[in-house]
Amino acid sequence: MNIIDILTPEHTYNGLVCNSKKRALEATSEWLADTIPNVDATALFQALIGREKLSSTGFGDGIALPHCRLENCEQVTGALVKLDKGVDFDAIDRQPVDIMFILLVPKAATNEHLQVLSTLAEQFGKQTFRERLRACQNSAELFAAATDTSL
Amino acid sequence: MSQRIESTITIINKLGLHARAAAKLVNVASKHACDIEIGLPERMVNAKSIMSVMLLAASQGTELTLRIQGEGAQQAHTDVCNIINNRFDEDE
Repeated sequence: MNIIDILTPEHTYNGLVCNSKKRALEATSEWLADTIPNVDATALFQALIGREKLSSTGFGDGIALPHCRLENCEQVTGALVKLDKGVDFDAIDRQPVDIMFILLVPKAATNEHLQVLSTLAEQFGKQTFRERLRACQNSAELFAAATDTSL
Repeated sequence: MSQRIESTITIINKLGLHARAAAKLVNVASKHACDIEIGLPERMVNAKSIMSVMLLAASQGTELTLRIQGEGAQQAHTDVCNIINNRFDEDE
């Protein structure tokens, strides 16, 4: 599985202006709900923030992987958001987060979920990949970099 | 006292090593000074790195190898096995 299997240009956003984790997730939820059938912005935000309350998905090096399981979600859907500056995310390394990869997962997709996490961990664990994403100037470049399997 | 322990352990919780379970494992491993690796014989990773642990995509029933070396290895082994065998405090 590759990032391109779950990410589209429509769900890639470069330069979100926000000043907190809560606002970043709220703005992202509103943006995503507009493009995904049967997904409500408030419900999505509550699900994502609820997951963060269990433990932060800020997994270090400025990367967060906010995710939630949704009843009416038919397939694993990813979204990539780069913030214009890092925000406090209660990350495990205490560093601010400036790149979020959001994952919406169907309730039943246990093994697929693990495969997706593995792919994201492999890519976002690479310093070269993170640097490429940070250098992108617009959403089209960000999508191209994120889905470049040579990185 | 420096020790080296190698054993295998099976992931028994329903959801496998998903993000939150991986975070709990990393949290337990990080409390110990010794080197802790987990994974498959051909792909062992640092148990103190969440990105590395998530790479394993270990589902329910997966048998993982644990390799622990250094001071306090015995206690680290016990603690890591406990969190896995307690299903990461999940219900199923």
